[in-house]
Amino acid sequence: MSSKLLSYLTAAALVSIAFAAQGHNPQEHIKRAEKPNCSTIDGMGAREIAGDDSVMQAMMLQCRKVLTHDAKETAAVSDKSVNQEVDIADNKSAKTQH
Amino acid sequence: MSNSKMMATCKCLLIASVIVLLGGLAFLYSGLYPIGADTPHSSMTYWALETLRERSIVRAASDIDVPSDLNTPERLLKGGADYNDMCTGCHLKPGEEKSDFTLGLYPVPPNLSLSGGDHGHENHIESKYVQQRQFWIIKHGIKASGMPAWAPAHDDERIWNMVAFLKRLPQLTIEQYQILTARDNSETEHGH
Repeated sequence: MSSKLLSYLTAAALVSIAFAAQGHNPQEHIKRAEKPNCSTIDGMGAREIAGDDSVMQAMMLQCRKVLTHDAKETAAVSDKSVNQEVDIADNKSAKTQH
Repeated sequence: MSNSKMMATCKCLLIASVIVLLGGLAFLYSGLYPIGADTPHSSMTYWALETLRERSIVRAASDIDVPSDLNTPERLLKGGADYNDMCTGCHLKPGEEKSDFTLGLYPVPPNLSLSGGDHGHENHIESKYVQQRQFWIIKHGIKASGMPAWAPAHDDERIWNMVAFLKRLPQLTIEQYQILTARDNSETEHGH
């Protein structure tokens, strides 16, 4: 076997191994994901929340993400129901015209 | 010492070495040593293995550069989520005292939700060596211990995130832990 062919085969084997060894994607854990229970922050004082402790900052960041995400979901659901009501009203007026 | 005496001494040492080597091989092949995880090593064997492990890690981890930004909330969140998904089975979390793995593995995995003195290792939370050590162990694992090497599927940044989380883990309450480690469904990370 020529050395050139051997080097191509080695490179092909290494590339295939590299593809097989993809990083473990955090998305794989999303199915078991649980939301943070941010109600425990409610009882905290302003001083605690505003402190420079990285744990507290991380908790606020986490809960802010969840609140934003929940607000977006709520807005999307209410938009959908408003659109459905408009469609129903349009259908009713179309029927009465005929 | 005359030449003949020196020759006689060397011969004796050689014969003794061969006997020790053959005896050691015979012991290995006999299968007499109990290998079950539920049978602890003798104190001397445990000390020898523990010393071997720690000295090897000290040497191997001594050149590792510790990032200066380990104390950021972003690292805590990323490291915490990974810790919760991949490590709590063996290393537990606040409020847990045991698991099937802590009961069955030998040596027993340290409870990383406790401070260093309580889980058997040095308790210098701010020590650069502790962070080097933790990084090295997570990345390379430890032979024949149950601790895997996470490097093949996790890059250095991800491992440093976990080291950052381990720094604060012993101080977290159950509620804080739950918030920090919850994976937000709106996250959009895509691998490395």
